[in-house]
Amino acid sequence: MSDHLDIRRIVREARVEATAAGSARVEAEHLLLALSARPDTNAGRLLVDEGLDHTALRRALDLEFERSLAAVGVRLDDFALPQERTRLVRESRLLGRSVQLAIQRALKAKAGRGRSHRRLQSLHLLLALVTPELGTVPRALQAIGVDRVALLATIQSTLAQAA
Amino acid sequence: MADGEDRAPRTVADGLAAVVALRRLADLIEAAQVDRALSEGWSWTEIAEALGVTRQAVHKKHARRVAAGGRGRRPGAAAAAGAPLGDDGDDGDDGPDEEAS
Repeated sequence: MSDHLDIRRIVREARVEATAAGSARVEAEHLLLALSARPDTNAGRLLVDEGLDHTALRRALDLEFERSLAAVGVRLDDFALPQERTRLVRESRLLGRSVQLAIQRALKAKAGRGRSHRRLQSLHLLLALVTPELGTVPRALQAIGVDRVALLATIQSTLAQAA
Repeated sequence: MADGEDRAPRTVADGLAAVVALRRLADLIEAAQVDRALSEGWSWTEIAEALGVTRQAVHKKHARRVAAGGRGRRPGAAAAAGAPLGDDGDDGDDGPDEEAS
C-alpha cells in the first residue's frame, strides 16, 4: 500500500498548527500534530490507534508547556493570555531546527536498512519525530504517560510490514 | 516566593525545557501586550521604546499580524486606530513617526 508523504504538504499543515498554537516558529511538535490529523496516512492511523489523536497530542503539549514553566515557578494562568492564540502570531513562516532535523532523519530512515523505500513514507517522518530523547515532543509524550520506546517499536514494525 | 517552594528545576533537562517554554511564553505575552497597547492608543514608537527595541523591529514583527485582524476582533479597538497599519512590514519605517502622542 502506498504511503507516500508529500513533505511540502505536511510542512504546510504544520505551519497551520504552529500558527494555531501561537508559535512564531514551526517545530517538530507541529509536524507531529499535523500527522495526527492525517488519517489518510499510515502515520496518522498509527497515532490514532495508539490513542494519540490530535486532541490528545494538543493536551500533551499544553501539559508539557505548563510543567516546564512550573519548574521555574511560573504559572501560565498568571498571564491572562487570550484563549485563542492564533491571533498572537502572524502566519508561522520560520522552520525551527527541530523540523530540519526531523526531515533529515526521515530521509535517512527512508534510505537506510535493508530494503530501502523508494519514496518517503509518513511512517519515516513519524519515526524521525519520535526518535529524539530530548526536546518538546518526548517531554510531551512523557507528560501523558506514553512509552516512547514502545511507540518507536510499533512504528518500526509497521514500517517493516509496509515495506 | 511566599510559599517557600524551591524554584530550582529538578534536572538539567527540566531547566533547559523551562528556557524553551519561557521563550515561548515571552512571545505570547509580547503579542498580547502589543495588542493591548495599540488598543489603548499607544504608538509604535512608544511600544518600541517600552520594549527596548527599534520601531522598525516592533512594527515588522507585529504590524501584519495586527492588520490581519488581531485588533479587529477586540471590541472598541477601532476607536484607537491611528497607528500605521500597513499591509507589510516596511510601512512608514523610514519616515518620522507622526502619530506619537
